[in-house]
Amino acid sequence: MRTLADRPAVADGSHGGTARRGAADRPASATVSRRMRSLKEHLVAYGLLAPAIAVFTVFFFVPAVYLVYISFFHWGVLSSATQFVGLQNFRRLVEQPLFWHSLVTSAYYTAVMIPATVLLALGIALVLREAVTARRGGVWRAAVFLPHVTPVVATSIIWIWIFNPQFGLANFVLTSLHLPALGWLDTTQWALPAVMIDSLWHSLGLYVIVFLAGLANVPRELVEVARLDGARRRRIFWRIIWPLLSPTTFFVVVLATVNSWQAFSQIYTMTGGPHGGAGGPAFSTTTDAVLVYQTAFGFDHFSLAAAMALVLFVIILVLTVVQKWISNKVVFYR
Amino acid sequence: MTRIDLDGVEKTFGADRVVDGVDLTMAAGELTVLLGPSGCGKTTTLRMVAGLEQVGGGEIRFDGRRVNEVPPDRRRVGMVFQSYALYPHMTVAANLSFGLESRPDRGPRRRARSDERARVLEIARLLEIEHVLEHRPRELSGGQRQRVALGRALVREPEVFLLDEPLSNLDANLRERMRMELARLHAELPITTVYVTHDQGEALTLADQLVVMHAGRIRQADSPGTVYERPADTFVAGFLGSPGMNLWALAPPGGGPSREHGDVSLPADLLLAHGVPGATVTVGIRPEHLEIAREDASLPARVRCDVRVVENLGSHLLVHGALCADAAARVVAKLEVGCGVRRGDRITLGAREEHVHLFDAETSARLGRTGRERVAVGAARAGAREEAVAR
Repeated sequence: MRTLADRPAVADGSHGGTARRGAADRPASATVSRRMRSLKEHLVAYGLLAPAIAVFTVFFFVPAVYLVYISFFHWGVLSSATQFVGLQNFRRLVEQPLFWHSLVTSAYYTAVMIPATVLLALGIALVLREAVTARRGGVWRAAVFLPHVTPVVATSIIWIWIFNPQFGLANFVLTSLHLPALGWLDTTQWALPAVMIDSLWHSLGLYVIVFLAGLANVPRELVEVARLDGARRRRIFWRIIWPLLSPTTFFVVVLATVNSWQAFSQIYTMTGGPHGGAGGPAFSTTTDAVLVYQTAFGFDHFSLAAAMALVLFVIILVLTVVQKWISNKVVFYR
Repeated sequence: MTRIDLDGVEKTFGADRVVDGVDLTMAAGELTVLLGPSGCGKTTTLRMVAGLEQVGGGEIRFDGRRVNEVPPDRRRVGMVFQSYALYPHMTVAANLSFGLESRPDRGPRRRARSDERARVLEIARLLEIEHVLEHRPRELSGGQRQRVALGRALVREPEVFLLDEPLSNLDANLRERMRMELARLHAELPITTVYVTHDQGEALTLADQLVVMHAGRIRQADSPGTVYERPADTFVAGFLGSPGMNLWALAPPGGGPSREHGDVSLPADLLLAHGVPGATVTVGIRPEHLEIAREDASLPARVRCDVRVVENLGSHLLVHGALCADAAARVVAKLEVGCGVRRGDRITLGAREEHVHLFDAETSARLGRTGRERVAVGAARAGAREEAVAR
């Protein structure tokens, strides 16, 4: 049997403090068993993470890295046609008016979608919070969230019917209100707003739920104190709720920015994508994401599309960094 | 200064009647403490006075004027919440001035900003928080936050000051200091104050009027001394005091010692003097009024008990035991440190006649009153019997 005197004074040879020595005084077998246990725990943890890591690697990291790689090549589906071209793809991009047009369209789409998303989602969240009783609240929240879980393509097809100039619900509503009927998806002026309406309808539920969660984090007592202080609704909102909600608003703005710059499915479906004419009429709905798709799968110019996607990535990254920089000045974190 | 009257005030949440017919008058300039266990309705009552909860039934009047429908900002009340509820994104100065800037009557007759600043400084000086005016709440200690919350409530010169467990988030030492501060503040600014707490130390030291609530009803409203010395019923007797009053059921057969436990004995003339008509009564004696029984007749009330735990609190011993014949009937006594009592001892404790409280076992109301009070007890007992018959 080992005695205390048999134990090594400092097992690892270091000259640590009392705690270190205490750990070193333990029997070597105990240390080994602890290490084995720790190793086992690590293996189990990585084993559980492995499926998620594999999915991310195959469908996200590898394509992302490969995209950067092929943007510097003239890349064909057959590897024999591939050759390094340096920055030539990027040079061709900036010379293409359609690319700049798509960036402007994307920027316009994003610039409208962000304030519209924040205003509508926050408005609906405030109404749901204020006006709906707790029992019915769940039903209303579910109703608002429901569009977000429906398939974009399927609902976009329904929106095509809604925006049909002759028989659509949209024009029926307009004419019922004695307003002129619109050409919607058939006109360059109204096609993008029509897509925006569909996108808003589809995405709003998520943002409403996010705002509801943010509002739930604003202590009720602060609003009550403000009421006792004599503040009216508007003042309570702007001076108390809005600043305390700023982290949520910032999150929504970032998410809406990314989603808007990447908007594709609804535009593709609503503007004749299945028939090969996505982004129309007259490129009025050709956003950057749509152009990337058309360049890659319409014109089979994968490396040019990769360069476009890389530019899109950089734009979104820069916007997010700028938003974060602004948020450090205006967002209040408790 | 405003006098507040609550007349049959009720409040129901769903099927729960949390405030059940509260009648109370709070005199102008007085500090009324609402005391009771969690869920007794004290905070809801306070919130109804503030206007933050709609009154379910009855009437609240400020100086005789009904305020049930008056919005909170028109009641001229200042309130301090348990969590302080400071605006976390504003500086202390902004927290204090928010109320001044939000005044409904600010409009064309608005005070100059310098006036508001002067008022903020005045309050900050009163509460000794001038040096933290530019700090945010998260940079303050618990005591400083407490002072800012008080300042924010006071800055608008309220006519009614409401405090909802304002000291419960502070540590013991700070709580004691802030309690003294509050007492000083109330002396300097005699505003009608309603103070909600479940801490009887705060209640007894601060209150001009102490209101004990239980299950949505007022059990007793009186001066702290009276509530402590003459509790209106067994709930108040057991709730107030640390530890609460010892209570034992006693069935006196025309004035003899107890048959119920055989361990509690009271002189027959004491029972007769209290007008106990031979029914079961509840006997109450506060722990600090029990002593080791002596041979002489100075401690006529006697209790025999087995000692289970002896806690030495330095200044005194806290002896926990049970009646010899009934292990469920607890006995707590505060005895002198040198009395020699140990765990496992069987001891006889005694109390002076004036320290013995008698309660009706059916209604739990205090006995031994005279005139109008005794009539009320009789009526309550009759009501309880009718209820029992009806059941």
